[in-house]
Amino acid sequence: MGVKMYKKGLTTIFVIVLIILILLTGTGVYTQGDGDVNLIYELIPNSPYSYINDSGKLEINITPENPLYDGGVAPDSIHVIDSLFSVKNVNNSSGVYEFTVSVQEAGVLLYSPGDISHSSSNTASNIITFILSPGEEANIGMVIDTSEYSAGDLIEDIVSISVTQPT
Amino acid sequence: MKTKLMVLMLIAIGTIAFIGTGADFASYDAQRNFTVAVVADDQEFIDLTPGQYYAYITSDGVMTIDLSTNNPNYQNESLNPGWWGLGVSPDTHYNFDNVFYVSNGLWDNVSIDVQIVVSGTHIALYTPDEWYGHVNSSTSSTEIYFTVDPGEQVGVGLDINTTGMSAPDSVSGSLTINAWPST
Repeated sequence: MGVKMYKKGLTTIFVIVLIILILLTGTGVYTQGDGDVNLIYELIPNSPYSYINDSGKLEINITPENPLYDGGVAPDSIHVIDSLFSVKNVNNSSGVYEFTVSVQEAGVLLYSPGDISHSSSNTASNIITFILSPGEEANIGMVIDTSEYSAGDLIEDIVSISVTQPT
Repeated sequence: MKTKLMVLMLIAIGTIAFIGTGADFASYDAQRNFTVAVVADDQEFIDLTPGQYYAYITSDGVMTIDLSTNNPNYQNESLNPGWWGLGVSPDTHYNFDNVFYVSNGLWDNVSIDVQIVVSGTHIALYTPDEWYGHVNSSTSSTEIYFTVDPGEQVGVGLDINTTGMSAPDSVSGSLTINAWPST
């Protein structure tokens, strides 16, 4: 009877350890950060012009509505912002991913040292791609050309981030 | 019991292996908002602010220097009640200190180095702390360089030399301003 109790206890402990292991493994595939994060990547604001909003999402806001600052960009000018935000592969497994970041609005271009074809402001594009291994991070820079805009205009755009597995 | 434990262990290893790869690729596409306000030159991060009535901000928000009757300040009763001065005279040398100011309102809180290049003839620029000695009307140049610290502003003077010109000639040109973080 005593032996049976011991064996039952051993089985129970084993099951508990198993559950803990499963829970640990299940949550251990990514690292939670302070930025805008999912299982694969984290979007990290790197400048005063971007921040994590109340919804926990990265927002790029260069207007008087920015909660921290006030201002904007002048007409007929070109602004280059190095490292506006960064994309980090937070997947702790062996996941190597290809990231595509794009914008659509005229006058807005992106660049990143991780994209050989669009690594600087001189070669900026409306779509950039780069590959990140687990733990790697890529800075995203932005070129804003207001030659087609006047004071009072608002440039509104969506920054799209998509992930694929490299072929 | 040993067999049961072995079976449980195998199930455990299988389950962990399965869950361990459970973060295999799914779609994680995201869209994030991006908004930029286009504001007048004197509200910019790197402001261009008129320092004299000869400079003003147009309705498009662009700073313009205009020493003619087309300048809206010329017809402004409070600024120019006598509607004096229609322009500059021939064969003279004018200099206007602090026609406009360049200020550093960048959110990044960094000093900036500024280059201003003026196109056209008969016009030159100067500022007291110019890197290469273009500090007054006697040493003015069509290309000047200076540094602006965070929150500070630097006044830029304008030199107009109408030697060889006659009424009603006009002088025109454009200013190109480049700025980058100080190294």
